Amino acid sequence: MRTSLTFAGVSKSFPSPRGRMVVLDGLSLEVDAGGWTSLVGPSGCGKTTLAKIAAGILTADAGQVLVGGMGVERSRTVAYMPQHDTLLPWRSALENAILSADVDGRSRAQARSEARQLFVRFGLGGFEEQRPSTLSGGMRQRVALIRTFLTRRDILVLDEPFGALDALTRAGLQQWLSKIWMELGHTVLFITHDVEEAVLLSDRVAVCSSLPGRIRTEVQVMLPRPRSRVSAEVTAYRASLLETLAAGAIS
Amino acid sequence: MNELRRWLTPMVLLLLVLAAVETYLRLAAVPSYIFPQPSAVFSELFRSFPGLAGHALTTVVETVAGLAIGVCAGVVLALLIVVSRTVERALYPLIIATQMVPVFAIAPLLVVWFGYGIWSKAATAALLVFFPVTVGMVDGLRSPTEDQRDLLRSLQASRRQTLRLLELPASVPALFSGLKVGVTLGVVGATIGEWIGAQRGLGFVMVQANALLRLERVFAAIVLLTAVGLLLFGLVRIIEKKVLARRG
Ligand SMILES: Nc1ncnc2c1ncn2[C@@H]1O[C@H](COP(=O)(O)OP(=O)(O)OP(=O)(O)O)[C@@H](O)[C@H]1O
Ligand SMILES: [Mg+2]
Repeated sequence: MRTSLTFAGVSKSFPSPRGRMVVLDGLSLEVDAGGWTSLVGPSGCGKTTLAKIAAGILTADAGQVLVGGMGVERSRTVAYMPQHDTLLPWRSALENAILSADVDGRSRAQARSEARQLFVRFGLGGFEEQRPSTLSGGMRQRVALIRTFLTRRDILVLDEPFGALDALTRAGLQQWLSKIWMELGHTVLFITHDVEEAVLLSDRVAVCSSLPGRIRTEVQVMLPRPRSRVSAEVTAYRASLLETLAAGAIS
Repeated sequence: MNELRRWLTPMVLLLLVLAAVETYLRLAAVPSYIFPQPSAVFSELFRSFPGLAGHALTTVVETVAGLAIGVCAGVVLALLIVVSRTVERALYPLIIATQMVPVFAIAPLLVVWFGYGIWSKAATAALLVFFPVTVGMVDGLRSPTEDQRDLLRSLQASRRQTLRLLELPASVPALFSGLKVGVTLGVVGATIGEWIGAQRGLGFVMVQANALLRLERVFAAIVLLTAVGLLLFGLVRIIEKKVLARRG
């Protein structure tokens, strides 16, 4: 179940009031099979756009997105977690989590029991039958993460999955996700604003420039896991990445 | 308690208006063939209640039948419109055209086509009902956000699955809105059908009593018709509340 994800010279522009706005300009990025690459960058630099291209929601104007060396369309290998949780209000939390079973025609009973276990691990035990509107923002995000996991695809594209969480829950889920990833070996493209989070979790951090988006720097994070956020190495990586980001913001 | 309060205020207002009308009609000695006194209307209502109730039942059956046909037609049309741009372009003008032609002009034709029984009335009702249901359903089916559609796209859901898992469930509130407008129009449609040609129903009672200048009977029928409309509307609201509460 190891598949790489490759962006080769991906460009994308959107129509805007002042002609076309180039959002991605020949972006290239490689997410190794079974590897964890994080993408950090200023707001509006096209991270979500890139994630949507990977998920087959948008098509690139130019360039290629390859999954295990093949085209990404209809490949059913990418699980996408949108930046906004996008839970369906008429489904219970548990039913939301098993949405992919309905699309893929898998057994609902089995999906439900898998989902129940994940709910307990995510600290959502007892909330299975609640409607999304009665859950907190952080709880909703966790349900969306479970939904992404249950799609049973090799590649996870997570768009700021912990954005709406408090520091404590966030740290817990980071650990949990890291552990699961070491067990299952998904290929992960992880989008975040949080440089520290990127250093803690990834084996490669890519920094994208502000519009039009391109990869400015890639940093290999070669530290053993589990990593501690107060260790000197993590702090050093964090400081150098922040410097790179700041330099980009000024120029 | 709250429920009682909600009903109490309009009831009190209604009674006050009726009392004022009654007083005026008595003092001015307006003859009952011009404007019947409310008390005469109610005594007619109670005296002829068994007979009138039978007519009301006929109107209810026609309305419900028209509602069923109209809602089914509305939902199917909405689905066709949403699924195909071509169908939308072809159908929308025709659908709007059906609402431009006065029902009074079409109802006699419907009686010719569907006979004097309940079906010509059901057809008249359906003709009025299907429009708000179609329009509401189209809006409802189009209500899912771009994010929600993206999510299903990322799962490679087919057109059909998107319809079943996203668009149909999202359109339930809109369906009920259409249904609530449809109920009131259905009662009107059935009554118009009965005016044109019928042997039963509250519309038939009105036409007959009108010809005999028995206005207190006409008004008694109107009172019952209003009750029927309110009853059906209330029923739809109760079902709506139950369904929407279950969906959260
Ligand atoms: N469908 C669209 N139509 C037009 N412009 C768009 C569209 N989607 C995104 N954009 C524009 O593309 C740019 C990049 O958007 P994107 O959502 O990819 O940024 P982002 O890096 O994810 O930002 P953030 O960190 O704030 O989530 C923005 O300027 C946005 O206005
Ligand atoms: Mg984004």
